[in-house]
Amino acid sequence: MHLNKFLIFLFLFKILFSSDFIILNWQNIKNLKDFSTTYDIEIPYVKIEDEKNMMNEVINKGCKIENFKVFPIGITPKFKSKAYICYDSENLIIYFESEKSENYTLKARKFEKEEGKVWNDDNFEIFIDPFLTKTRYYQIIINSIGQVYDSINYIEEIPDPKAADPRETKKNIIIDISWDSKVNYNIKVEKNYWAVVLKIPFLSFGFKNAPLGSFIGLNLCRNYWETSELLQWKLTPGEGGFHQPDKFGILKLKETDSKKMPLIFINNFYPGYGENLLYVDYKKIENIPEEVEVEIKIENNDTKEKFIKNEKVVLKGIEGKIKIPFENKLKGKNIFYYNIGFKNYNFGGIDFVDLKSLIDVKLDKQFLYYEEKSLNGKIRFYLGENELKKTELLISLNENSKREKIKGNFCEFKVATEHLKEGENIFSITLYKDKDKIEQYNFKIFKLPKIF
Amino acid sequence: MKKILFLIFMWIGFLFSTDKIFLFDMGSENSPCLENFIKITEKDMYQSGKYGWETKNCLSFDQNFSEYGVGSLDLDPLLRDLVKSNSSLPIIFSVDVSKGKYRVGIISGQIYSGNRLLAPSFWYSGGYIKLNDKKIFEKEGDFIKYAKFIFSNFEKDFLPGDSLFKRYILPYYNIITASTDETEKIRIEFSNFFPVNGIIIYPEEKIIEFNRKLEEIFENSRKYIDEKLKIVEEKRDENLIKKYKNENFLLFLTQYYEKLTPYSIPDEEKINQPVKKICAKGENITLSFGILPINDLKEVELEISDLISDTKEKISGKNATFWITKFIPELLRKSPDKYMIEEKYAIRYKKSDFASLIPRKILVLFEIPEDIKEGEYKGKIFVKSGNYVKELPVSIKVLPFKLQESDIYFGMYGKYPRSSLFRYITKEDKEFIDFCDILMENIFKEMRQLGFNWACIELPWNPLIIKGNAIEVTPVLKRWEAIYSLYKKYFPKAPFIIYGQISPVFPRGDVNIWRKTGFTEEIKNQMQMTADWISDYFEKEKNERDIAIYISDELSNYGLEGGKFGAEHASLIRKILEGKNIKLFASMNGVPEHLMIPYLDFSVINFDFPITEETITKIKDAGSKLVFYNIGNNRFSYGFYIAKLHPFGRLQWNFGPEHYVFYNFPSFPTLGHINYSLIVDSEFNLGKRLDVIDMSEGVIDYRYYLTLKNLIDKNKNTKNEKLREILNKAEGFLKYITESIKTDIRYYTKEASVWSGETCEKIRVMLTNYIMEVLNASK
Repeated sequence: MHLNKFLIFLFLFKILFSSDFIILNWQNIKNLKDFSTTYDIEIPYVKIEDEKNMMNEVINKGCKIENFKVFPIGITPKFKSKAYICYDSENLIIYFESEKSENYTLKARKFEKEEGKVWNDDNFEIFIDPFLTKTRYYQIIINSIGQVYDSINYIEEIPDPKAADPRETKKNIIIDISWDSKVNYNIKVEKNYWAVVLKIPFLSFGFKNAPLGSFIGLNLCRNYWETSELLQWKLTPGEGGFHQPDKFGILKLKETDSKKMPLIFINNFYPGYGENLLYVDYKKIENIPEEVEVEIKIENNDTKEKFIKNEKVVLKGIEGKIKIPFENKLKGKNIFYYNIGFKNYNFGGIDFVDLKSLIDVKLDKQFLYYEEKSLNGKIRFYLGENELKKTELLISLNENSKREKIKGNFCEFKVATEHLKEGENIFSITLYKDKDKIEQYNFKIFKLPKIF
Repeated sequence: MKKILFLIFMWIGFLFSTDKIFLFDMGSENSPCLENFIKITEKDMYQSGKYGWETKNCLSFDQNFSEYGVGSLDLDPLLRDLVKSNSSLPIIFSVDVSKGKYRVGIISGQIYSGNRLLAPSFWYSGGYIKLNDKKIFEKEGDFIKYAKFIFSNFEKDFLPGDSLFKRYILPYYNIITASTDETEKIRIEFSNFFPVNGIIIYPEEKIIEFNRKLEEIFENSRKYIDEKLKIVEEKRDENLIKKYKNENFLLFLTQYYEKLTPYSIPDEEKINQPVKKICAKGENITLSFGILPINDLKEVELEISDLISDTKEKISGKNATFWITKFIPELLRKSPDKYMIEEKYAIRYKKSDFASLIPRKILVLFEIPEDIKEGEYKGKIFVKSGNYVKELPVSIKVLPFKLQESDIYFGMYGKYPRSSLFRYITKEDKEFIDFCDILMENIFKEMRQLGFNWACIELPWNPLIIKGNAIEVTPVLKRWEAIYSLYKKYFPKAPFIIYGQISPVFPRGDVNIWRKTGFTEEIKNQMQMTADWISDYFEKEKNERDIAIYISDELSNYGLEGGKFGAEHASLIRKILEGKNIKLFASMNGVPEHLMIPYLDFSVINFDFPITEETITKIKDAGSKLVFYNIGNNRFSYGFYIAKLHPFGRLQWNFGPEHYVFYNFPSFPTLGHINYSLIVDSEFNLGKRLDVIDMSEGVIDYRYYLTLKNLIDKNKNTKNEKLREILNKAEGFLKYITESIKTDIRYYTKEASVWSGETCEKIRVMLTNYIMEVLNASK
C-alpha cells in the first residue's frame, strides 16, 4: 500500500512539474510461438517403390498406431483397428485397417454430392491440423467404396443460444467443404477386415513438399455401425465430439540421413495492416549458401480475397536472420501463411489476425467519482512493423494534448483526472501517417459531482 | 512322510481357518472393481459354501457421471457403482464362513440416480439393514429432515485446504459396522432403496486390521477425488497483514459487485472507510463491507445503530438485515481439472466463527421508509468478537424524491418448488404441500422485494387429462389455484403466463411427432377441448390482466424445421383461441422462429434471435409485445440496456429452483453450478444470489432513468431559462447513454466490462445529480 501511495505521488509529481497530463508506457508484444511441442509419434520417410504394393510397404515401413479406444468412454473395442503412417517427399501416407464380423456387409453408399452423409456409413475418418493451430484443421472421411468427404474446419467461440447469458460461449464449427484434399487411395475389403491406404498431398495444406520442420496435429477415427463402435486414436470426449483439435495427437516427420534439416524459426512479429516485416531465423547443417523460396500468402477469411508475395533469398553462413518486407492491405479476419521452401522440404507457419481496425483503445472507466485521481487505458496497434515506424499518435484531453512517435505495438497509459471539470470532458486519440490523419477515437469522460 | 502329511494338514487348516477375510466390491459388469476385492454384480447368485445374492430382485448401477451429461467427474471403483433392489422387496447377500465371530463393514451410498432430474430415492427414503436377522442400521424417511440436510449445503463455506470428497461425497455414504455372534453363515438383508457399494468381513479378533482397512478404503476414495482436482491458488500480498498483525481483524469497504476470493487482500485505502450510499425515498438498498480476520475469530456478532440525520430524524437500525457471502468451489470451464473458490450468494448472517486471513463480505440490506425526510443519516456498524469491537461509520443520503414506478415488466422465470427439488416425492400429505406452497410464496415475496413486478413461473404439469371426449381435472389443478392466488397477491397487475403443460396435448407440440403425422384431427380436437376449458377457467381473470399461454420454447434448436413447426403450431393455437381473449407467448432463440411472429401476442426473444433494429421493428409492426429474455444475468441488461430499447418486458432464466437435481445446491459433480438455483438455508429462509441482486439493481437504475426522463418531459415547455439549460444538459446525457449502447447485445459478449456494476452505479449518481438540478431549478 505504501508503494501504491508512493507511485501516485510520483505520478502526480511528474505531472505537476512536467505539465504532462498523461504517462505512456510502450511495449512491443512479441508473437512468440511455442517451439517446445512434444510429439506422440515420429513417422518415417518411405519411398514407395511399387504403387500396387503400397499397402504392404506402408505396413512394413510405417509407424504403427494401435490401441484405438471406443469414443467417448475409452474402453477396448470388440472390433479393433490399427494404422501405419509414413510420408514421402510429396504426401502424407496413412494405412488404416478395421476388423469386421464375417457376415456383416459394410454400409457404403454412393453420393451425388459431397455433404457429409458418408459419416453414417462404415468409414475411416482422419483429422489433420498441419500447422498445429488447434482451431483450424482438415477432415477426410472415406467409406469402403471410395466415397470421400473432405473439408476444412474452423472452431470459433460464439454466444451459446441455449444459455441464459450471452457471455456463456460454446464452440461453433464452421465447415468449408470447398476444400479438395486431392487424396489418392486404395481400398481392400476382406471377410473379417477392411482397409484403406490414403496418400494425401502436402500441397493440399499449402506445403510445396514435406514439411519436415513442422509438428502436425492428427487424429484417426473409425466408425463401424454394426456395433455402433466409434473408435479413436486420441480420445476426444466432451463438447465438440471428434472436432476437438486441442486433443489431437501430434506427429513429427522423421529426418532421413539424406535430409538432415536446418532449423527454421518464423517468429517475433505480429502481422498487421500496411507495411510488415517477416523474420526468419535459421541454423543450417552446412556452411554453404542455400537459396530458399519464401512465400507469404494473406487470405481474408470472409471475402477470400488474397495477396501473395514470393521472394528468393540466399541463406548465407551457418546461421543468421533474414527480414522480408511485405505489405498487407486486407482488413478483417486474415490468415497469414508463410512458407520457406528448400529444395526437398518446407517449413510452414500460420497466423490468424483480426484487423477490425487499426487500433483498439480500452479505457478502464469513463465515469469518475469526484475523488478519483486518474484513469488507465491501453492501446493495441494493428499495424505492420514498418507501418508503425511511420505513424504518430496524438492524445488529447480537453485542451491538453501530447504527440509522440509510436514506439511499439502496445501502449498502456495513465491519465491524470484530478483537474478535470465536473461533468463532460473529451478524450481523444488520433493516428497520423506522414502528417495525414488516418484514424481518430473520441471518448467522453464524466467527472461525477461530489455527493457527500 | 509324517512331516509332509502334517504340513499338508496345516496348509488345509490355514485355508479354512477363521482368518479368512472377504472384500466385496458391488457393481455392474462393465464398471471397475477395486484392487484385491471380489467383484459382485447383480448376477452373482449365492451357492452353498460360497457367497452371493439369495434374492433375484437385484439391479446394478454404475454412477458414471460423464455418460449422463452432468460433468466429467467420477468416483473411485468402490463408491462409483452399486447393487440394489429393483422392487419393493429387500435383497439378501450371504457368505458361508468357517465357524466363528465376524466383524462386518458395509458401505452404502448413492450420489446419482441416473436421471438428471431426480435425486436417488435412497436420500429421502427410510429403510434398514439386518445382519443375521438382527437390525443393525435404520434410516428414517423424514422429508423435512432430508430437505434441511440438502439446504444446509448452502450454509457451508468451502475454503482452501478443504476436501472436496469430505464435503460433497462422504455425507452421502453410510459406513455401517457390526459384529456377528458365532456363526457359519453371514446373511445381510437390505431393504429396498438401500444401495450396496461394498462389504468387508474380518474375523472378530482382527478388529484392528478391519478398522485400518475401512480407513484405507476411504482414504483411497478421498485421494481419488482430491488429487484429481486442483485448486487454483492465488498469491496474497502479505505486507498489509504484517502491518496490522496486532489487530484482531480489519474492516474494509467493498461493493456487492466486487470480486472477493479467500485470497483477496483489500487495498489499504479502503480500510476503515465509511459505508456510504445515496438513495430515493422508499428504495431498498444494498450496502456492503468486508471483514479480514487477522486471527481466528470466534462467535462474531454484527450490529447496526439507528441512523440519525442533522435534524434528528431517524432510520431505525431494525430496518437493516445482515447477510454473509459464502465461498464455493467452481470448476474452470477451460481446465476442468482445476477449480477456483468463488462467492456466488449470501445467506442471512448468524453468529459465526471466521478463519484467519479469509476475507468475508457482509451485505447490509436496508429498507428506506417512503415517508422519511430527506437528509444525510449517520450511524455505525459494530463488529464484535469476544471483547474486541470495531466500528464502521455508515452514511445514507436520502434524496427528496421517490422513484418513478416502472413502466416495463421486469421479472424472472421460476418454478413451483415441487417441480424440481422434490419431484420424486409422491406423497400428497398436507405437510409436504404446505412446505411447497410456503416456499412458493417466499419466492414471490422475495422477487417483489427485489423490485421485480412480473414472474413467469413453471407450473406443475397436466392439471387436465383427456379421456375419450371428456376432460378430467387432476389434483394438480389445486396447486395451480394456490400458485395463481399467490401470484395475484404479489403481482397484482402483471400478465399471468400459463407456463407448463395444461393437458398432455396442449399447448406444446412435439416436433418429432409433427414431422411424421402433422397435427391430426384427433390432436386438434383435444387441443380445442383444452383451450375451451382453460378459457372458461380464466373467464373473469381475463378482464383484469393479460392471461397468456406459453406455447413453445426455443424451437430454433431444431433449425429451420423448428421454425416451420413453430409457425404452424402458433397459427393453429391462434385459430383455436379465436375470440377467447387468451394471449400467445413464445420464447424464441433464433432466426427460424421469425416465422412465428405474426401469430404471437408476446414475442419473447433472446440475444440470438437476434436483437436488432430490424427484428424489433418486425415484432412491433406485427402488433406483438416485445419481451427480452436470457440476455444476461447482470445489472446492465436489466437497466440501461432496457432504457435504450424500452421493451414491454424483461425476463431471465432463472430465479430458481433449477430443473436438474445437482444444480439445486452446492454438490458434486456439478461443482459451482448454482447459477439458476434457489438459495435456501436449513431453516428454509431464502438467500440472495449475487447475480440476482445485480439484476435488481438494474431495475432501480432504470427507474432513476425513467424518473429523470419524466421530469424532462414534464418541464419541456418551461420558460425558465436556467431550467431550460439544465433540461438540455440532462437530455443530452440520457441521449449519450442510450446512443452509446449497441442494440445487438452480443457485442457485449467480449466487451462486458464496459458496463460493469461500477459503471452503472456511477451513471446512477449522474442521473441523481440531474434529477436534483431539475428539481431545484423548477422550484
